[in-house]
Amino acid sequence: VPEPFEELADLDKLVHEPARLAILTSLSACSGADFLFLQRLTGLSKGNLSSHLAKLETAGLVEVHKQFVGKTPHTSLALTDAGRATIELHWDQLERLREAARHWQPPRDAATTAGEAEVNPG
Amino acid sequence: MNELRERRKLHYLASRFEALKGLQIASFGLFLFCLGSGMLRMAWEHGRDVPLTAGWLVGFALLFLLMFTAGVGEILAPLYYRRYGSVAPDRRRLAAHLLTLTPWLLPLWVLIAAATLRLISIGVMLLVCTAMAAVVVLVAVTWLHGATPRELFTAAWFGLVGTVWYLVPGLPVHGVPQTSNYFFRAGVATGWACAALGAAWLVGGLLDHAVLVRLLRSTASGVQRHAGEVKATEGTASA
Repeated sequence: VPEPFEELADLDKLVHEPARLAILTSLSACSGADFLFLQRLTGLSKGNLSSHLAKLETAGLVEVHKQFVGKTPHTSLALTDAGRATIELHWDQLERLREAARHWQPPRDAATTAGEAEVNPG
Repeated sequence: MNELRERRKLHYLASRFEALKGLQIASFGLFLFCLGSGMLRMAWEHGRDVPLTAGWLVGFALLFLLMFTAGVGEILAPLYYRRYGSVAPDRRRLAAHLLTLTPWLLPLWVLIAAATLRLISIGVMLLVCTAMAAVVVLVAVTWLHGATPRELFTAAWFGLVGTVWYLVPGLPVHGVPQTSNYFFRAGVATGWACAALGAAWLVGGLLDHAVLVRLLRSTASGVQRHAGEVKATEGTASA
């Protein structure tokens, strides 16, 4: 595996899944948000969003508060301290990867070998 | 690395969600524009002798405006809540914005006072403005520490601004003379300020609402697209 991309394997897959990454990122920019806002933000169905939130709650990254506003149930979510630290670390990792990928050049011998293989496929 | 592009959008949406509910501020802008236009018309028609009732009319119009805006806010807030949900804003960020805004009010009010009422003491106006700014900062600081509910903060803010808006055009009614030049007459500068601010809030509010709708659609489709790409990549890898 080429060096700059080795860190890709170290990315936390729980966090890096697109919907969960969007949830955590948006929650990191505010004190908290409710279920409907996250549903609009991600475009997920209620079931899918609940499933993602359950995973994040189990991992201790978000805390879920359920209450009634009048007669309507209202679910609000907020990042835990661990969740805030995790998402910041994750974005740092992604930024580093992007920088590494920008300056990365394939090793000369590997590139030559690949070029020769293209010229002489047999 | 599409996520990096989406990050900015997500941050923007979550941190400015309250501000992006533009229809509320647009309704306030519309009535502020109407109020400003009314004040300009009144100053134009009555010339130097603003009738005693005019100051009261401005006061009542302002009261009506505040009540109407509160009513519209009461109607629009649940609509936004049911359609887009809610976000608890980062108090520190909002308070920081308000505290940054407050010092600019001071020269603004002095400018209005100087333009509309040349004979009134700038020192007195400065004192009043400083007291007003101090109260706003005090309320903002207590709000920052969670001691003041948000509704009370908003009421205090509008109350203070409303009082000054009433006082400045209303001063000639209470015997303070004014100049013969229309553009420096009481109520004219305030009228222009109200009309301009109202127009800006009206247009800005509508644009904010459009940005909110567009960004929510964009982030939702972005998440769906990325999820699809991840699934396709995993499928290819397992194959």
